[in-house]
Amino acid sequence: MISVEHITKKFVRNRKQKEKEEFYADNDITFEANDGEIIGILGPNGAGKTTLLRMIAGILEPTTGKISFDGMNYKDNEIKIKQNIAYLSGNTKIYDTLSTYELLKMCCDIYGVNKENSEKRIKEITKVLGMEQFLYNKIANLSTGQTQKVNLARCLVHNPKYYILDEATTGLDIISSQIILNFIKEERDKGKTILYSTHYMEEAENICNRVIMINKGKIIKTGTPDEIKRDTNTTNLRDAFFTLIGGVSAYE
Amino acid sequence: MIEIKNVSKSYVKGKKSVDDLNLEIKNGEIFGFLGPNGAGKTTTIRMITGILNIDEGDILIDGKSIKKEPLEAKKNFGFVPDSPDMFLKLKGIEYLMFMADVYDVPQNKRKEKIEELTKKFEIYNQLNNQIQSYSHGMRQKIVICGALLSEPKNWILDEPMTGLDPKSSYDLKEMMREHAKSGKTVFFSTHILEVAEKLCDRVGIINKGKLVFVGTFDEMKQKFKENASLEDLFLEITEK
Amino acid sequence: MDKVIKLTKIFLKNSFSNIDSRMGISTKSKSKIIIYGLLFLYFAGLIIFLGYNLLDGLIAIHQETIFVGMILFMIFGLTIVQTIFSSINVLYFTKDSEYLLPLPLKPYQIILARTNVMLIAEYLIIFLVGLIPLVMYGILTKAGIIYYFTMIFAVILIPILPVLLISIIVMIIMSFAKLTKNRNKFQLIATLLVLAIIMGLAISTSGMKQDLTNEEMAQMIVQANGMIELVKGYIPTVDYLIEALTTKSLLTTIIEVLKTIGITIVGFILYMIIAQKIYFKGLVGNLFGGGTSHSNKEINQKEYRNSKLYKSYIGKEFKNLVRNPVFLVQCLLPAILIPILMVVVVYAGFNSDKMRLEQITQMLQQMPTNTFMIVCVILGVIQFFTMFIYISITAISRDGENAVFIKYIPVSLYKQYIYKIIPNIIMNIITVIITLGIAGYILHLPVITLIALFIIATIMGVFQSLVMIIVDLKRPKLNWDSEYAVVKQNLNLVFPVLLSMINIAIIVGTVFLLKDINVYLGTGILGILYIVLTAITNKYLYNKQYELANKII
Repeated sequence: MISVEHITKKFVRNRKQKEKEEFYADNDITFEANDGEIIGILGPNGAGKTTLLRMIAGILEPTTGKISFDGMNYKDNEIKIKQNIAYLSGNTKIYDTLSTYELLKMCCDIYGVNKENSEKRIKEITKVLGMEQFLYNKIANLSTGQTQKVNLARCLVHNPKYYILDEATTGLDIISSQIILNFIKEERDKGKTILYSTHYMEEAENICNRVIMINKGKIIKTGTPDEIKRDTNTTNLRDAFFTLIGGVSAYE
Repeated sequence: MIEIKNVSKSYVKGKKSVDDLNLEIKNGEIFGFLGPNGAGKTTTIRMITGILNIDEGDILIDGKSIKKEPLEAKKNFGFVPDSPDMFLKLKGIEYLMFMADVYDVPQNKRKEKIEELTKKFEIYNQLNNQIQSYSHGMRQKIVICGALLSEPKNWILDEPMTGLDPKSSYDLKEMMREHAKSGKTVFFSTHILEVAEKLCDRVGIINKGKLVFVGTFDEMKQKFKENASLEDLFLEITEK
Repeated sequence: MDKVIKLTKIFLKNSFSNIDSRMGISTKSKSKIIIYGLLFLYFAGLIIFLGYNLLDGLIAIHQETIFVGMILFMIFGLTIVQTIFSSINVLYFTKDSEYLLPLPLKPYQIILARTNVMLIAEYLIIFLVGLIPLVMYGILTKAGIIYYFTMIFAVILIPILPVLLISIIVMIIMSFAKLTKNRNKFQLIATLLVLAIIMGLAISTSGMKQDLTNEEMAQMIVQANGMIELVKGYIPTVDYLIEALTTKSLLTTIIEVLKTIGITIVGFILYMIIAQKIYFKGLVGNLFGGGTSHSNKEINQKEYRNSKLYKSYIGKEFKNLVRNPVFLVQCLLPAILIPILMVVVVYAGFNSDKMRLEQITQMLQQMPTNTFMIVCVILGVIQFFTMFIYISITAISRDGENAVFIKYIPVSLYKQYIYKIIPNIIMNIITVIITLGIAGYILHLPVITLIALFIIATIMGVFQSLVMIIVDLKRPKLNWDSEYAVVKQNLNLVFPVLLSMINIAIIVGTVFLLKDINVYLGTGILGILYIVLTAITNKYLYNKQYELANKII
């Protein structure tokens, strides 16, 4: 279980003139994600999704508020929490002079997975994500879809308990994103806790147990997709979102 | 109008990435180009835009061959590449003015056009900042603005919806519709079927370098008859 | 510790291998090895040649121990200069930091691995410029086995402290950087400041750099020795190691080496304590901080003004060069700084002995300066200066993955190539003007000769720019993760040096062939030669404009 209590992140943005402008990337965010749940974090670009997930992944420190993982917090158990986290963002090619296998091997070393287990684990992941064909190719030469699979695989070697996935399917075609979505669903059924940010509303509707909608750093709505649709009197999350922000009211 | 005539391209000898492709995108049409990653979508778009040489065949943009009259042909389209990370050190306004100079946008139209586009995309207030400081979505928007500044007759967009939030992608779709309504052409690649379904007059599906289907979305559904979900449909077509 | 080694390996692999193409065409590693090999031999040869002459002279007057001090100081200084450039990039501007932070790594592991990368990069260079002369010293002084052992210790130990020191300074600067209004400007100012300090140091120490073969060597040696004595008080490790390398007592050697190791360890512990406190704060601030300035200023109506395409395009190229601290320092500034620095160093060298300067100026002015020979010497010097202008050789690579842009806009490729090399030509002209200004002042050359020189040097600049953009088109490096990779880890940068060497060879060749020719006639012949070469290259670029762009995908 991941619990987030009254999290705020304040950035100080400097204007040209001497005035200082403080703005909140996230303002008083509170929610809980239970084991065996996929929580969708939805919102437009710049809503604060990425900042929120970065704080949960321990990259950024919140200005105020508490984050805990099954009772553990970053202050006392940083390494222990990080041992159990999978954090994925974007689909940038990283360490692309390595082959997929080398990269996974390195991740095993960093997460302290022992030799026999790491071979076994790499084999497993390769099979689940369908990476057999390009396991020994340089990452630089892989396609976007393949790269994103590698990126996901990179976060899985240590059999994490908490998944923090930021726009994991951006730029992927249907087949590649379906493999990733299926994988996430399976992990959920194994009782893992999954935070999933996206701006594809349809995707969120399909896979998330509960959805948190964020706009301008604040939660504007939480609930299951059905609840949200019912409350806003709409038939899909996209319309629901527009209704909630009072912007573009209908899609067609 | 974009005409793709018997176009083939191979990176490695004997293995065609695009194989004898024929397509005609008419005026007043929004054409969606679908296919999985690595199917030949990007290669095709690169050939249309003159980034890649065409091995066999030819591509005409409003009657100008990209092979024989590249400069004339390039004047006839605006292109939005898939990665918006460009000219990061320029300010938004500097980038737009540079594009205006490249495409010879007349002086009296610039201000009006820039304000119209950037206000629509809500980046007008950011124009005095370096593109480097923009978020992914904002970068995408400024690149689109740059490409549309010269009011090109043909729009070619490579995965334009990637990274755009619902509001902006709604705006972009509206603009595409208006553009097509005024008798011009929109050609874009996507992998989001919903987008293609709601927006496109016709779609083309490419797989392993070959065009496996061209027609309206309804025709596609009929042809494959299944009442299955769009994903299944797509899988069925591409796995043949 | 295991994790640190793993991380170091990954960082190294990532920063040193270069990907020539995203299309999966493997690089021709053979030709690469040959180029690297030749380069190594060239520099090794140069170092052996210079070192031998110097050492031979010193042995003749029984002052050979000074040589050891000089080499150790050189290693120390070189490490500082190199680290200034590499540390900001290695510590802050690599793209992988966001991926490392969520991993269960302790901060010290990341810091250690990053530090290792910098150190190893140093060792590669230092083995070349430090180890070779030290081995030579060992051979010429018939040193025993202990000397060689100590030497290895020295070469390994010396670079550590400067790397740690510069890294800490960079970390402190960067942890403030996020507080400043405009991060980019701050980086720029910091970079310029560091350069100014280096220049200042170079100028203030240039008094020692005198021709060592002259008869006043003994006095000079005393000076140099005094200098070393003076400086080494501040750098204890170098001090101890000089002692360890030059003493005859085994016990002293061991004690001095142990002292050095001790100090290095203390320095290292201090470094780790400070770095763990400040490194990550600065890093996170730089990665995602709201530190970038946002102006909501209304757009000036002036901005909407039309301008000619060439102006707009060249303006864009200059903006990209100037607003990028790495490009600014590596591509633009050398054009101005190198000639000034060289002249200042030489001038200060003479100036240490006032009489001599006047004599030389007089002598030079009495000499027939307006000769073809002098013209050629100046041209050669200009060639030497301009080979550090990396604008044209990186013209395509600097755009990175966005380089395809040139292929889909309706502007002819040839025109765009020319727009891209114009900044190079302009910077080249600036170098030429500075150099000619100084040369004209010292040598009292007639204006007409200066004009002729200016024209030839500019033509050579155009020629060089054309050749270099062709090289970059043929071997672009588009897939990079920091700007640093374009201007440092880029094998193409050998080519400007090669071309300058060839040009110098051509100039020397003409001097030999046309020894006593009239200055204007000779200059004319050289001018025609380069006009023809430039025209041919230009024609090639024009005819092959589309084929040349094939690598840009």
